Amino acid sequence: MSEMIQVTVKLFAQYRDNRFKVKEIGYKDGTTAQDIIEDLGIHNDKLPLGVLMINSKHQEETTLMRDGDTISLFPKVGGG
Amino acid sequence: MRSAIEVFLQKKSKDNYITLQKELECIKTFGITLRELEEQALLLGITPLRYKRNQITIDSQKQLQLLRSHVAIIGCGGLGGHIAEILARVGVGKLSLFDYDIFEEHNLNRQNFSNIDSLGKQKVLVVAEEIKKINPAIEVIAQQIKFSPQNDYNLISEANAIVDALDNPETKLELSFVCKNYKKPFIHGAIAGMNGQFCTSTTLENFYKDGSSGAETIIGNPAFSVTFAASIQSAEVIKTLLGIGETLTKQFLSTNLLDNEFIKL
Repeated sequence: MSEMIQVTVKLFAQYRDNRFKVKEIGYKDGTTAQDIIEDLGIHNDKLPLGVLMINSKHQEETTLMRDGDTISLFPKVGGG
Repeated sequence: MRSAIEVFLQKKSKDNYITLQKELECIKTFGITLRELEEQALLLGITPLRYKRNQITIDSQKQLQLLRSHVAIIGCGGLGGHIAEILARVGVGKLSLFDYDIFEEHNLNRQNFSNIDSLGKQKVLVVAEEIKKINPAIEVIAQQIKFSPQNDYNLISEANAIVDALDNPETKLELSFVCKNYKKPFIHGAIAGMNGQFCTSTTLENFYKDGSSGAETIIGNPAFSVTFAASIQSAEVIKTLLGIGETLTKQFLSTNLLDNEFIKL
């Protein structure tokens, strides 16, 4: 049985709708940022992802999550 | 020996301020432009009365620096129209404005100078005309083009700062890289609903993985989000031009007016 990691998930703007602002969630070891995005049901065709930060640093979706990480997700903002 | 214009300015000013009426009298007498006159006045420490309430946040010396500055605003929709007005009122001496679009009914909720009479008119021409009415001392260049950062850079190469008031991630991203290549201060702002994001002189690949639209196409942009964002960007421009305070260089400011969250990372 694979080990579990604890990740603090912070959601911003419309990503909070019907979800939460901040929550600590247990994931399987080997979980990537993309796995979390999919697990949350954040689909690119509705509100595309803008900023992805892990521990306050910009990161790629492929980044492997570690125990104790904080992931922050912001919808893409492009209006002017 | 003092020039005749200097003598006039000193004689006609009161408490180191000169009124517009006296300025107009002076330019008529000496055949110079309002901008030339204001530059001479500020050099003498005499401030046009219009800037009195800028003081002392912006003193006469800084006012002169602004008068000698040139800012390019790319886009004259929501953000650009308001930024153009703010910079004209603050006293930035030269503004280059770019937009290819006309005012439409769905712009009335937020875009500066859109009104029943300006519907159907070129945004860039309307904005230029209106801000010249606010501050006739500044030079305004209106370019009716769909700005291409790669191809049209020559039109902004003289500017001291470039404002991203574009409405699409694709061109925003491209502009950020062009400004980086030419080492031009780049003032980014974007909005969607009650959210905004801002950074200065930073390329935008971490915000826009691709050129597709953001949440704004679904959730719109209300007026208060637009004016809020225009104010943040205008302050970034002024701080950049004057070299004061702390700008958002290499930082990311995310704002959320719904929950009053202002996060700087």
